[in-house]
Amino acid sequence: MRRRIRCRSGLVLAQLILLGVVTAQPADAQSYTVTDLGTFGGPRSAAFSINNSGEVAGFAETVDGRHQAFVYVSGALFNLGTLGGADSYAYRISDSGLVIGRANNAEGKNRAFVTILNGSMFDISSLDSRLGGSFSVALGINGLGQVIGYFHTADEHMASQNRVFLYSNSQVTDLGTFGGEDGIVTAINDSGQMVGSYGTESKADYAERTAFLYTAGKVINLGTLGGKVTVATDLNNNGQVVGYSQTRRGNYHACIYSSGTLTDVGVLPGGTHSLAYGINNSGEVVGASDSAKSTLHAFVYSGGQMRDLNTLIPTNSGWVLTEAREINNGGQIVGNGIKDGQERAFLLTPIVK
Amino acid sequence: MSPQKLYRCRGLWPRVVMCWSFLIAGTSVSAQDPSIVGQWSAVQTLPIVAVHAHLLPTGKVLIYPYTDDPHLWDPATGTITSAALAGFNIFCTGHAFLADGRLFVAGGHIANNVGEAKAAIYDPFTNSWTRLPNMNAGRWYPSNTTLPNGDVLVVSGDQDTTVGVNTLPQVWQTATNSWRNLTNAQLGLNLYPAMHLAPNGKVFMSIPSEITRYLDTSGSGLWTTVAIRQYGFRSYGSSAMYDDGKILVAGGGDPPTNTAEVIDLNVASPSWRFVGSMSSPRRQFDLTLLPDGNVLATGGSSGSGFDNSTAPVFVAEIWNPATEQWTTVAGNTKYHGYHSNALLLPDGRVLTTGGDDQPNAEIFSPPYLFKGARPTISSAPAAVGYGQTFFVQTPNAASITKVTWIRLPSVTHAFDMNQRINRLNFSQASGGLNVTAPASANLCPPGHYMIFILDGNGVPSVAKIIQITAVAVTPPAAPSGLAATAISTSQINLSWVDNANNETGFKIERCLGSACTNFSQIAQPAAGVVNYSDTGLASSTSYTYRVRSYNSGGDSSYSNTATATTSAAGPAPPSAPINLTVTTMSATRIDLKWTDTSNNEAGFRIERSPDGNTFTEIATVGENATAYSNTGLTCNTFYHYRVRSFNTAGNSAFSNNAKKKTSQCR
Repeated sequence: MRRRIRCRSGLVLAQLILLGVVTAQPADAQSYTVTDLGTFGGPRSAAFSINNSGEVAGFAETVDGRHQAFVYVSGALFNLGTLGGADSYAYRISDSGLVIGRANNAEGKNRAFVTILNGSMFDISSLDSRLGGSFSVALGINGLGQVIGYFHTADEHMASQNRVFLYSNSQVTDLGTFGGEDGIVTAINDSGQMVGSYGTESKADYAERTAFLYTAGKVINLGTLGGKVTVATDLNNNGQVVGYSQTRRGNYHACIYSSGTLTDVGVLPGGTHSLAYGINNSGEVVGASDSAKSTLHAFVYSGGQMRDLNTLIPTNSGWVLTEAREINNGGQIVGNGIKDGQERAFLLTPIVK
Repeated sequence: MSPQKLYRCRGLWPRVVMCWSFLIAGTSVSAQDPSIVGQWSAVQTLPIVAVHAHLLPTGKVLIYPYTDDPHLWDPATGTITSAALAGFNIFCTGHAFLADGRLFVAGGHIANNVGEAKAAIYDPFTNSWTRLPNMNAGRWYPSNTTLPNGDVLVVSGDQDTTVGVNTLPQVWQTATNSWRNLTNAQLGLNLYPAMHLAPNGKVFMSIPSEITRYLDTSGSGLWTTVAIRQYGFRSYGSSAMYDDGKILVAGGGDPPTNTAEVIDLNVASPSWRFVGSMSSPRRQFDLTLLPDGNVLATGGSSGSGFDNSTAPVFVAEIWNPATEQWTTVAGNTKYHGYHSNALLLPDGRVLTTGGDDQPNAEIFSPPYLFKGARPTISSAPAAVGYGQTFFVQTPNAASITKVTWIRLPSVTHAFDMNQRINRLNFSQASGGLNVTAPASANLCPPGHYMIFILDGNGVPSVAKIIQITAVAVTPPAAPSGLAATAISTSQINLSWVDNANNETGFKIERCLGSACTNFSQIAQPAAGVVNYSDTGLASSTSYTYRVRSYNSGGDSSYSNTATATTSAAGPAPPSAPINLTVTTMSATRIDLKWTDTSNNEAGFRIERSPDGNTFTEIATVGENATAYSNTGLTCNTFYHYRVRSFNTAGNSAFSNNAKKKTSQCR
């Protein structure tokens, strides 16, 4: 993830605000209540996914500093445990409540898992030894319970490659790299379309990466905004894809791919850098952008307009919302911010007028 | 230097251009002169790829590869030994030296783009690791910056491929062994951003983004934009602070650029401007500060793509801050690209090592090592304080024109995270230089630095490693076992046991008598000295001594006292007689005469020899005598004579020799 800020327009923007030319928000702007999802006793929590029932997945810190995958259901935070090691991270939750992510086993290795509240965590690598190396993670799940993720092919850094797997009907399938030397998938919709990125180098930042949409057996290159890196992060059931793409000058901008076109979502006023993380079936997009204050702010993008979510919550809430990670079809948004000096997961619920 | 090393022209067209320009830069003869182009060592094979490299205060280089497999390389011997394991994969960590010389590392490698939340400290003096409390989250490719108070800023680093980069800057607080979160400064940064402590105490980010900023680490943190760089995104370019508040960035991008830019953070409105371009585009290369203040560029690729090993840049280049231009120098033989690094050694050479599939090292000797004899530093204090003037002992004081020090390097991924040079004020003094340390920790964060003294030709000494610390320096341990031994009527020799390893030197005090207390200092020998000869003393006199060590933290307590008495003075031997003459008086008699030059003789001893070689004393005569008659001799025979005076203190030297033959026999 790469974020930058350009402040050339900051002064102009401030002058416009003073003159009343730029109003804080349109009169019909949606506003939200904000909920702190809490922790397991430690200072930190983070949320990454919300299903259409309002259930949330993420991780929270314990008193002794361990990160534990959680599911947030009906106002309560539940610890999903691990595969025997210290830490676990939940990245997606399906409408049926299945939760996926990665967790440490007793050896400290990261393993892709799937679980459900009050169920036991299942190590997907137990079905296929190829996932039993140093690292595997599950990143996408659809309404059919199909799980996608990727795994490292070797422990040794120089010999390792990222390859995509599909876990479906109790079977693990190696889907390869989709054309690059390594491949990563991030989301799968109910039609089985997948998005992700592949690259010629998996070893570091700044390497060329190509975002793809895998649909009907074809790998579609989503293009770029001028630079050499595009990453797809989510797609909806309409096949619309979001992510971020490098501009010609090396900055990243949130983008939407729809009907064969990659569109720059832009940045918040005064910012230079944005990333889109989630899109719902209505085409509403959430993400993060830097801003005139040189700090990250969570945004929601709809109707061609990007709004700073910090302007849509009660003033004096004590929150700085830094990134929005997913939005469900009901418009609820989860993400992460700073509350009372601590990193906390939030849930935004639209206020019905 | 072989021509093959200089003119390695394989590869794509940028290489051809580079080689062409190099040939133009100098004739083939002068270009091979190491005093102009420097010289590369042979390739040394290493047991690992050195992805991370750190010059420790011990003088050894800690390197580690893609795994938790650190090694220690000794520049003096070339030997490599395994170092203690960290206990987690320290590949892809950020690192910075602490004020006490220990190495602070943060983050690490779980998988590509998946970082460890761990942090640890490596102690080079005990070869051991200490785990610290975890950071807020994982960091893969973070940057560490030592702050003026010795704390360490950690920024960036990927948490994992879902969460992305760790947006929260954190400060490691050494005093409390805890983290401070800069919650007001959350920002998505590039991995391994180049951060520099600026003269105003803020931390300046120079590359890869063209938007360059300050991070104020006080309170909950605050980013402010400083200036937009001229060139765009410099991915895997390099950056170096080449003078207080002055930063050079060069290369980087894809395809890489050969351009370079500078900014001066000391002015009211800093802005970037282009300076001379390198002879070749580069990415995945290193900028290394040299003792003379120039900046060396080594390694990297001129080709497009992330790590294009088909277009290696072998020639090195040196940037001169005065001219702001580059000069191409000698080339090496191995491609040091992604995962390579370069660092200055205390002897003034530059170690270049690492790069994927490159378990080797090459060492560059810059041209200044071929421009004449090197000045030497006999001694320097182990530690100094801010603004302190300290003594650097050197026999070359009169020829020194520049004194610099450079922070111990800690390098990875084309960037030394805390590289800086300070040009130190100094003055000539008897037997050395009085050098003044920087007054501000903003210009010189606490820790260890290599101090170089340079002559008018720009030839640097081998460095001594000095610690600068804001914390009061502890006075050294007191010496013990002082012994005093009279050697003569005028000399007493002293010896003692040095119990400290941080003394600047010793102070010797003396008083007259065996039970005296009115000591005064008589000498101040350097660190490590354990004996002293006190000369010019009075005879038959008792002297009492004591000694203590000292450093910038003050004086130690005194050693034991020791007393000795010089020898008693006696009469001196008389001076030698001169002008000895002999006269044949008969067949059996020869008379001798000489000049008496002494006034304290007891008499004279007359010696005779048949051959001028073997003399036998034949008589003594009394005080003030100047003649003697030798009778009873054999006729027609040669006799040799010499004379010396004597008294109770001994004999004088001999007079000249003289010979005569007795008369013919009858």
